[in-house]
Amino acid sequence: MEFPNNAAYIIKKFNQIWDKKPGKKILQKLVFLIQEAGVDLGFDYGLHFYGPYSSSLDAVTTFLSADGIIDFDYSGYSHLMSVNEEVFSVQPMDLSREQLQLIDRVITDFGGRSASDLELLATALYAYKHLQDKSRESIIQGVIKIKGAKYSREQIETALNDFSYFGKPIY
Amino acid sequence: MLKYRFRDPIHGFIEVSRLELKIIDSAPFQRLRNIKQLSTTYLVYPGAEHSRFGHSLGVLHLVTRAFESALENYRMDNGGKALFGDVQKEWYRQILRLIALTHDLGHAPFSHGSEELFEENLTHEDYTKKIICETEIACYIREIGEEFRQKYSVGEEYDITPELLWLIYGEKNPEFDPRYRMPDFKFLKSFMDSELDCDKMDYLLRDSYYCGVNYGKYDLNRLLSSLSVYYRPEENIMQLAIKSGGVRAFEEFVIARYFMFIQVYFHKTRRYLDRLLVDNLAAILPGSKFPDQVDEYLKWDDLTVMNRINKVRKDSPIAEKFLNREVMTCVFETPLHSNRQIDLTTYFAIRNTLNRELQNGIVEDTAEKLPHKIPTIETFDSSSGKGIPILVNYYDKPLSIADESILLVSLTQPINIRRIYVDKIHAEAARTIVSELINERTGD
Repeated sequence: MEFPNNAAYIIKKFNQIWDKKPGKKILQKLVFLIQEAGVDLGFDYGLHFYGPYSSSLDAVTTFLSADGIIDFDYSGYSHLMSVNEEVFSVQPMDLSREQLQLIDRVITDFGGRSASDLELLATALYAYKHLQDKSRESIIQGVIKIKGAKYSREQIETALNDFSYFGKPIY
Repeated sequence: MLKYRFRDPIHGFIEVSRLELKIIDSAPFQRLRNIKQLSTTYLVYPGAEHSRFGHSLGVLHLVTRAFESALENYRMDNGGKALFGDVQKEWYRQILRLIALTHDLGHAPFSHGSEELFEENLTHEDYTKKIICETEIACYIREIGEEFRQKYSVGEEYDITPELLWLIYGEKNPEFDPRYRMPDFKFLKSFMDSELDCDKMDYLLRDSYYCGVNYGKYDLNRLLSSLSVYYRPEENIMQLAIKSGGVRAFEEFVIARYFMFIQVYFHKTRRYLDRLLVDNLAAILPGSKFPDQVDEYLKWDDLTVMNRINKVRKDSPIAEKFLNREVMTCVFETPLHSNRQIDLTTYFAIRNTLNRELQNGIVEDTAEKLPHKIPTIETFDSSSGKGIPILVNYYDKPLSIADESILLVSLTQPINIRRIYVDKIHAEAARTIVSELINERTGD
């Protein structure tokens, strides 16, 4: 099951590591990457036009906001999030030290990438997860089926280079 | 060919084909006549006796109008170039009508009110899948598919099956199924699941009408006539969109959702009665859960539930309470958008004190995890896929509603009502405690 506090924890770590606020899209993709790296946070993902998306994660951020645990900044385009620990201290729940280290590492290694790059990587990992044929060509065709010509073949292949980070063998 | 007409108080005549009528006449569909659209709301708003039956027909009617309008506007704005070929368009139109018609078949008695009694991880959509794939309805859907192929002399690629409907509407990760057409199927789904879907369009007007309130009304014709398509073939994007002239109607629609949520769906007495109903259902259902088996599940509707509750009323205080409409009293509720420290700490202080003084005799309720989703303002390219692009003829890129409506931006704060109920006999004492605590905290 998903723990809302863990979503808040990831926002807090992002705020700390990158000294900025993640938008909804960045958070969605980062949580996806964290799960693909092996930390099961319990969020189910589907896919629409702009990469993998978890409605349960979205609902969690809404209610974290309602409870005053995270603040949304609606002034810009991206609905930026930050934690507010005036009432509640944000602590992770039911996660081991190793899992927390992995979360930190993914945020550090991928949190600085653009929303578009994260969308591509997350889409490629999504294709890997749901395609039976895990070959390089199959994943590339899978991404093309979803994204059309938005990303070049070269960009997709570059994204596949990150797969070893997530322990996903392709051949 | 559309041959049969239903008279509907919201949309006038609703036309269906001979084969669609077979689905409507089937037992699983007729069951919807005995499933109230708004659960126990009829015990608050006496007119709210309407059922999922009329709503399902209404959604079928609206998806047809919405689909036609969006495609026609797209064609007009693109130099007469149609989005789909004729056969493909008719195929999609038929698919959408069937999805709309069958989308609520899996509802439990009293609609969303009793969903927490499903086996773990099941939703009413899972039952919808079972009903369209495992009952007589599966045959009728296939029959429609066969007739379509014959009529247009097309092959299996234009088949219509229950599995295909589910792939488009319900499957969680369908994209890599060879039958799945990107981006067309995502586009079709948005008519049923987006910030501007026909499910919401119908239930707002219908619920408003039957409850006798005006909160859910909006300019349906303007909204429908403003629909269009944001199509970027190079990026595989095909989204249901709205032309900028329809923004005011869209605002009205979102505000209607907001008001209906506060005034009807989250009504304090209805919320309490839904809870009492669930307690009763848990007591009468075998193992306190709805059956997994579709045949067994279909035996449960509102009438079955009311009969069973009636049967046990002599020996069951909660049955007696429900049938006599004995409600607890709401003695405190937070502000609508409470997310300030003061709101939450006040709430917790009141809750803890009342719990102590009344020996845990309180009931709490929050807006969390409600089936009627709280309106949100998604950007058009949000990854939820629910945001609506706004097409402005002199911009290449669409706008989002947040760019166009200051009014709706102010609704981005989530609704966060928390309530505390106590028994009627403790209501006065509880109110005094609440009043003292609030005065203490505000220094009055």
